[in-house]
Amino acid sequence: MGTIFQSEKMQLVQMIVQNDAAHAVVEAFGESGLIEFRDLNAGQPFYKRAFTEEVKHCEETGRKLKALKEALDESGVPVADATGELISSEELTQILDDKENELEHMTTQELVLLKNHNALREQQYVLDLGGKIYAAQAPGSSVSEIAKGELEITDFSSSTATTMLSYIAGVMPRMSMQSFQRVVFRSTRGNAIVNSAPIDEVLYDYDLKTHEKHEVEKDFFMIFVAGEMLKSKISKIATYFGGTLYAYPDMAADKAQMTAEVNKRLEESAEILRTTAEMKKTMLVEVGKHYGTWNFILSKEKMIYDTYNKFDYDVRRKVFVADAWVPSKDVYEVWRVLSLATAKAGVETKPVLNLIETKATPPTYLPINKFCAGFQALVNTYGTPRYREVNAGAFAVILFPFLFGIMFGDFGHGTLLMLFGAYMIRYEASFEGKKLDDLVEMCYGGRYVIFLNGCFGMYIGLLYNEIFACPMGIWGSKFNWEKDVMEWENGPVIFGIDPAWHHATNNISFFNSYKMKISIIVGVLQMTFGIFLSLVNHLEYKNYKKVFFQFIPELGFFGSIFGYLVFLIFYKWSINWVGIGKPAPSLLTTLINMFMSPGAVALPENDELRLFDAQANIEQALILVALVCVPLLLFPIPFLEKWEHEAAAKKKEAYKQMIDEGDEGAKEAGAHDEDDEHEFSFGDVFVHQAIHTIEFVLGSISNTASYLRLWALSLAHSQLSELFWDDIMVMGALGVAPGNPVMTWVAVIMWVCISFMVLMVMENLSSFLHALRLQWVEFQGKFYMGDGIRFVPFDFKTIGQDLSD
Amino acid sequence: MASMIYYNVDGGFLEAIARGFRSGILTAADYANLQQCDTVDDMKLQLQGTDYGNFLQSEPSPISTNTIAMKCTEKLVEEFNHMKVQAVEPLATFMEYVTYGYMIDNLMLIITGALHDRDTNELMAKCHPLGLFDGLSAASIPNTAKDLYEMVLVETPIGPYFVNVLNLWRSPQVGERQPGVEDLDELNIEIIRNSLYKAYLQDFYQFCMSECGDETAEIMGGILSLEADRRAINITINAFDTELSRDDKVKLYPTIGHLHPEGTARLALATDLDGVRAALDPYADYRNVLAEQGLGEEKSVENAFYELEVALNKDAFEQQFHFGLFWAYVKLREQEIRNIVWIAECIQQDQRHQIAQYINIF
Repeated sequence: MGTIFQSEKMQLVQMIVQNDAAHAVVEAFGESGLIEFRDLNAGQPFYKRAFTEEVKHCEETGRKLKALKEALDESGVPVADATGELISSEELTQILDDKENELEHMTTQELVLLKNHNALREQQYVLDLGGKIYAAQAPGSSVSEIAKGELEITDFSSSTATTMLSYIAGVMPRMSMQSFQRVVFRSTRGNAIVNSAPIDEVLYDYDLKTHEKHEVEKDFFMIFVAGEMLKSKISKIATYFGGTLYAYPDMAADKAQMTAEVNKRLEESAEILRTTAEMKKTMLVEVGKHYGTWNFILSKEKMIYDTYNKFDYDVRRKVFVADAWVPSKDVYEVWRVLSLATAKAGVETKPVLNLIETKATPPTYLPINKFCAGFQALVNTYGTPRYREVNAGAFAVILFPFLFGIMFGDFGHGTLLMLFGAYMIRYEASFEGKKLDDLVEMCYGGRYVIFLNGCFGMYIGLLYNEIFACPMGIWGSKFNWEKDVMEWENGPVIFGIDPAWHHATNNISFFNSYKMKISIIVGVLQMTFGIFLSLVNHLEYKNYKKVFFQFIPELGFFGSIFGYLVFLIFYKWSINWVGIGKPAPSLLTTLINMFMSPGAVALPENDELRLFDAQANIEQALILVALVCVPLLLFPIPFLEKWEHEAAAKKKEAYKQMIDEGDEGAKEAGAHDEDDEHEFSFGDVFVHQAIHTIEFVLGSISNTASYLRLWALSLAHSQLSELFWDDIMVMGALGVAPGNPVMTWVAVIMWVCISFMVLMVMENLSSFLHALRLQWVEFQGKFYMGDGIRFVPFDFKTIGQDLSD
Repeated sequence: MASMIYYNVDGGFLEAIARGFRSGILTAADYANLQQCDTVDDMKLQLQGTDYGNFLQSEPSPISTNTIAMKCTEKLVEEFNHMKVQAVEPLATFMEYVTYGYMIDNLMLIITGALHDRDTNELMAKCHPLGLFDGLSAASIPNTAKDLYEMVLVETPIGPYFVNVLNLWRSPQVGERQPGVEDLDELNIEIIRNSLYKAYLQDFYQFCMSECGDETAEIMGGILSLEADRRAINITINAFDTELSRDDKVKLYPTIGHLHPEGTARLALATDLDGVRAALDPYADYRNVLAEQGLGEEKSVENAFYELEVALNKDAFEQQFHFGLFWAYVKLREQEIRNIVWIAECIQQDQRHQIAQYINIF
């Protein structure tokens, strides 16, 4: 029986299946998601296992798929989800190989074209920018623009004749321009004129080997030097600095021709580029359609091989052995899946399914619906429940929001929180399965927690009778303003606190006393409940010595001190102290006196401290119970365990003697049994129990005190909201300039913003945190072990959500 | 004392990072696992379990040892730069100093390559990424040391060291060589390399002694002394049967280190391996370095020094409040990369009997 209260009963099964059916069987189990395979090769490094090659092959194929995905993302092609399409993994490998080659080919081609295009652009810039510089620098530049055409020949002759001045033109990344210029200066000893001009357009550098494309800002340069030697030297330097040299014709006619040529080729290359890009896009769109399916099939294949690696193979008999954990109720279902799968695979030999008795701890499998999931996640953060242990998550569903509500008790704030939770529940579909950012993800995961927190905030807010710090007169008030007294002839208000208290001068001391007591009552009740849950655990594990020597003494100790305190609180509430004309005794003093001077309340001089007549006797009896419980908790368990251990050892000794006379086979079985036994040390057990005792005794006091945080947080919340209401809303709207609409608006907006930030966000978080602490430490500390291992069934449905835990 | 109070203000964060990186250095168990691998691809899987993580993920198999070395170095450089950009003076300068050694190596690689007419771009790809500097590729153009200095090196950090090299030629007594003959030939390149290194080590040593506090001085003093001694011994061994005279050698020996001055003086006289052994005999640390090796097994001398170096660098992590651990980290990682490459090569070439010759670090 598995419920939210207790994890499912698990059964270890062993399957023996023929190798030929392996794929079909594993696939069938992956579809059904029923079982968790145990790793039978644990301790063996991954690369030593039987199917390492296949897994690596899958990874290699996965890498290709990833490369395709990158290309898809880059070009912004949409990716389709998995369809039911069936392709075998061999086919898929083939397809991916083809697609990768195709893509590679296309990318290379595109890059070559792009590089070419880029070079043409650069050449264009060289011609363009070079014209200006050349005109300014070269000999004959003094000739005016208009006359230039006629003087071409003179130009040429003068340049060759005068100084043998030659020049180099090209482009260079702007980053290296500076150092390039300096090196040129130094290597020519200043005999070079370097001209440069920035190119505004962003140009690219292409690496054909790695298929990378970098945006580079480049400069145009033109260097005039004398002599061929220097020219070749500078050309070399320029290439080492990442520059590219381009031709720049001397003569205007050549230049015009070249410009035209470059422009023409640019147009052509742009056209070719466009067609190539279109082809690539078409191909990628095709890939995009199938991507989801391919990814699913590949991940599935990899999961199957990973599972294979957990199996044990019998080479001689050509079978594999697999161990798996199965929920007991599903064993039949597993058998059905197994036989169907083997039948489908066409294997004649029937598979074998053995149920195995084991001492190994089964994994914890809790059937969780989405409502409980958020609460269970809170508990699992502390620790996954031990196998068959009482699941603290089940109680967190109500207790956690309740504790939260006590601290966040305001009808208005509660409603807002509830609406926020309800919104996320209502629009679940639009959040589900999407990649959300961290904060939204967190809120979405805890949407039911938020919703219930809001509901309980509303409920407690009604009890406190507070909505945004204002009392509500739903059931009216029993306070008579004229007479200035409470009129209780017809009983108090039917629900919650009388709104008149909120206006009383002693409202703080009233609420403090009330909330403090409520905190203690809630705390003691919850912890007592926790102690009772430990009884359920002891019974489940059939640990009866813990029932008598752990549960009973704990309950006795806790009940006789804090149970009594709760009784006193109710008793004190139920007496009309004014009516009987006696000052109400302080409970704190009463409790302290109970220990410091037991029985002293019976004395006549302590008349005023006495709550009821038999108090002294009852207190003495309770102290006695508490004192007896401590040694009862401390001593018996270690001695009982020692005794049990010795008995077991004696039995084993006898058994061993018997085997020594018997055959070898039994000896093996006996040796096998010892695996799980560990050294028994009385000292360890005793120290452990002593720690537990001290922790419980001291803890019961500090834990009870710890519940006072309910009061403190609740006080802070109501005081803050009251402050904001009185000092911002009321003061702003009525105080400074009564009835001024602008001021009123300012006040409202300020009040809304501050209330939201401080109360809805900060207070909300701190209440959440404190409720979580009470749940984890004070409540779960009483019974919860939380050292289980989660059941992770082998299930193809987990594909695609690997990242989220 | 003062460093104990103030060190953590500027250096604490980076020291923590460096120590964090250090704990990612492969342990003996990791090496044992790596040796078990059947192929280099298995090594990739094995390395995935270490701090290297998925650094080889997007590499198509089969993976070459070159790729592994490259990717490992990339990771080291990334980590080093991560620390360097956050460093505050004087640590920032200290970390700059760490890169100068690589710059010298790169420069020499380019010059030697140019001498043998190798393609400069190809050589650039082989340069250590920590030692790249502006104009490095242009170093293949000049033919003489003077040109090299004036064209390329004058504005690089190692430029000042090169002045020493130029000074070597200025004095006429150097060898039988004529003053002013400064062509970049094989022997000259070696001389340049060693005198650059000498100047670098001395400068770095000076910097550590004066600027970085007592603890750094202590740790780095030891490390740099070893480095200097190693160079001195190597110079001696490599100078057998060359035209390098005794005085030349003396000029190249660093003036720091345990061997200086008595040891180096004796080394200068040594003309064969026995002479070197005799010269090193008084030094317990180095006595064994040459103990049983013949000249042919130079590799082992190298390994012996690597072992000494690893031990020193490991010790650097035992002390706090000093910069030595940044140097030590880089060197240990380098050793680790050498180890990984060694193991990978052994696996690839099926030389398993030699696989254990790596140097274990932690």
